[in-house]
Amino acid sequence: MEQNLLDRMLDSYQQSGTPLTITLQNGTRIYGIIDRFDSYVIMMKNEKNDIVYRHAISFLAPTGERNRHKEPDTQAAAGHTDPRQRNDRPAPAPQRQERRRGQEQMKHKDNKSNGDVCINSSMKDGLLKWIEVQKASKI
Amino acid sequence: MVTARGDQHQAIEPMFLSAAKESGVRLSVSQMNKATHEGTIKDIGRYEINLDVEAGTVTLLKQEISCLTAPYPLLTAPVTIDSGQPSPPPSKPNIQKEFLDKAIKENQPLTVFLINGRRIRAHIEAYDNFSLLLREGGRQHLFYKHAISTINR
Repeated sequence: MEQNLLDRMLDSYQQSGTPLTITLQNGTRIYGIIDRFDSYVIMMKNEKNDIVYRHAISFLAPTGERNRHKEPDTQAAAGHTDPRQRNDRPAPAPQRQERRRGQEQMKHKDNKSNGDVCINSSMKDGLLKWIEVQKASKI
Repeated sequence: MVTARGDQHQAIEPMFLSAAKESGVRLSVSQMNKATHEGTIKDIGRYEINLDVEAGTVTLLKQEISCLTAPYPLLTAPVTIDSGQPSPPPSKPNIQKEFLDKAIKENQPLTVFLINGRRIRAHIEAYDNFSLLLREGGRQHLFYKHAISTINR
């Protein structure tokens, strides 16, 4: 039977009982172990036994790996975190995601321009140094 | 009054929309981006709805609608779901069906989280392939599944 990658990953996570962090499109994180899954939903094993629609998922990863890279999440115990309870990050609407994408592109542009500036200034410094060295050698 | 059954193959959403159109009830339509429109349904298409609002007619794509709210129940679900013909055991697991059927049968309140962060706690009355029919107080909501991120008890 042909299985897609997500199904295979979910199957392996389910069988190994790996604690997972599922991040949804709105930034909400759901923690827990996969209880069961089918082609449309995933049933999580945590206090609330969430049913997660697969169309709403942005990405998922084992909980440990994420925490190794980022600061340990204090909301891990909360299971399902309500975006309204978190003042730091309001739930982005789809339009906001587009806007965010735009911002990211802007950031990339900024980075590029900064990089150009850096290269230019370092080149300038290098040239100046080289000129000074040449002058010194002539004298 | 139209009767809705808790059968998955019964299309709840067209029934809800046509009942709303026939009764001329003033619906509140929430969109994915949290915008809301209030008005009466003028036309029902496969992928869009024409809504008569004060300013004129608005065409709304169903894919951008998260929920339709009626101030009173448009559809009534039978209290007991007839399980006359036992369905053959499915080859694929259907977790969603099991979960929703159990919630309807036991009349459990569900907490539904939408993709846009909205949360609602309501009793489920019926569902079909693309939508859930929820009852919250006196109001009846039709939630599109494409707008739902998670459900729990």
